[in-house]
Amino acid sequence: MDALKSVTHDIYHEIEQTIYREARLICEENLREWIDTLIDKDILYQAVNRQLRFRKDNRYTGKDSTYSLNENYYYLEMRVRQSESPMQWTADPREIVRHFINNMEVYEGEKPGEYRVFTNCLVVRNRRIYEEMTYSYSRKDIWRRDANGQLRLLHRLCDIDERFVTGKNLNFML
Amino acid sequence: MIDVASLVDVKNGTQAKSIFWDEQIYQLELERIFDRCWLFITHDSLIPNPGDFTTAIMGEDEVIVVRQMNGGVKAFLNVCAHRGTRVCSAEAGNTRAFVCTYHGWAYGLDGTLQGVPFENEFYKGVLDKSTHGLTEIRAENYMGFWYGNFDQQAPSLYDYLGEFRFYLDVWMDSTGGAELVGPPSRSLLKCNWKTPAENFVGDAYHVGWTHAASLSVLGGELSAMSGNKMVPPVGAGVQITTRFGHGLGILTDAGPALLGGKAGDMARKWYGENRKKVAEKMGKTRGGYYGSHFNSTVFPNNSYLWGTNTFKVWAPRGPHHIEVFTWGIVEKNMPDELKEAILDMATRTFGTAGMLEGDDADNMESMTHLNRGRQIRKGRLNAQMGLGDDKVDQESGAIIGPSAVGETSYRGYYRAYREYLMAKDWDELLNKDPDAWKREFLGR
Repeated sequence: MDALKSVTHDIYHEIEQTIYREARLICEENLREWIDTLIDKDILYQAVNRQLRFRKDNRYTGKDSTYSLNENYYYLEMRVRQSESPMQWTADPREIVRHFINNMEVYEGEKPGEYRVFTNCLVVRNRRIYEEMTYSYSRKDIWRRDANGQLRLLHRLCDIDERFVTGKNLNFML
Repeated sequence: MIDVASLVDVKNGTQAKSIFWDEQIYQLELERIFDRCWLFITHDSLIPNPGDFTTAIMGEDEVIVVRQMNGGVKAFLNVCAHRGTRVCSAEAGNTRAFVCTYHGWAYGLDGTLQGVPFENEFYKGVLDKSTHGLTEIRAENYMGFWYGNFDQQAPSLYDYLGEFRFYLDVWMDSTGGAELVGPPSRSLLKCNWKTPAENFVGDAYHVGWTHAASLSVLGGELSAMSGNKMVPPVGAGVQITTRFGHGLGILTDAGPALLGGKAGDMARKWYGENRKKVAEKMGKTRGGYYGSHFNSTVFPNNSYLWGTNTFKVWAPRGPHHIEVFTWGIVEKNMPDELKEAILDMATRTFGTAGMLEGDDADNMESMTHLNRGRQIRKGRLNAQMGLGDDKVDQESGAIIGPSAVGETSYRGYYRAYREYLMAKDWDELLNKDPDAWKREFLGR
């Protein structure tokens, strides 16, 4: 495990505010502004679901995880366009996706201008009349400054806690 | 008392709404369908080595499937013979024995009870270990796809699949076999198990509308159908149904249609390179089907899309909920780069964050839950599209609806559904002219 180098209060505050603003853009359905202002063109946006194995099992050769999301910029933007389509019946009437983000740790990244950010996320998603679903997962992010000094997300890995996703699907920006 | 006969009107292609809601009907389904039919459990590719195991769900029963030391496969109920605890809590792995966490009873890979802690001191010869092994279940495979069956009277998996094998072979056997890629994702849907099963068996009609937005952004050939801008042309496909309820729809040459981009190009190239060999091996018709898109269900609750390459089990949890298992499928001999590209797109479209998979949930859930209303559940469901156009296909022995879009496979799925619910046992089901189902279906 590589050494984790702390950052200043100012940088922590800046990243914290960026992450909260990101969550608000998602909640306000403003995914276009989200992808335009906060996402790096080299983005890799991932969510992983893990199969349950015995801890001591080191003989089984099968893969133990599957990526529900494994999106580069092209496919991430495709999902944004899908959400903007007037024919996305599932999003009409609108859903509300609310992120509750905690346990934020920020460290220097591997390169200057990059930051490693760990958070816990609880999402409460409400849709139609009766459906409230919750999701619990961790995020491991890498954020980096663009040419204008603006922080943009370079890599996100969401580790989904539930093995059996009771929230039916992960069709929202995690 | 349920009037089972009236649940499905075979001649007119309608079904009772209550089949998606009623608890008594559900219990009858567990008894007469899930206790009798072959239910998907695993694939050779997920348990290649001795000691490998995966878990699965058959109906509502949890099972373990284990590769034996001699290379065979056995399946067992995942329950300890002592006081009924779950024996194996991992979903997959490799082990030498299954040890219950309650009292430490240990079972071998073959399910026999091998070790009982303090057996001599506490049992003093009272316990007969030979009758306290794990309960074994019939398990058979077709092309490496393993299915389990609780009924000793059931025909072999080979016979159960019957004329459906003609179509399965197009991807399971055409170029040297297929493999299942795990681990599965697992998710809840609040719907009756038949609502996605019927959709996958026979619904090309919904593709342009339900999936309008996702198709429009994915591009590719099927994006032309987005928003129902385009009617599929004549010859665009066919629909098939079979004796025991399995069915599929074929969209000609559209296998790579939902892959898009580089994955689509690579897949098209692969299918093009292999089509001639497949035609030589399997005949002209199936050479023509190779590279097409299949939407399909193996009765009762195992579905897949070939071309898009997602593989599903809709495991019932009562009449109003299911657990969705999702794996990927590829041809064994596809180059690694093509396999990765296909599996990537299969997840993107039909995984837990599937761009298309998510579109279907509201339809299936409301089809189920609206029936809490007494008036709503009195009604009938309509599957009459193409009624009267179906005919027997001499080559395969199946029944074909000669168009890409119709409800042929729905009608065949529910004809079989009704027959299973009305039959006392497999003897009654098999003690008939094997072509009787065709006359019943075609109404003559």
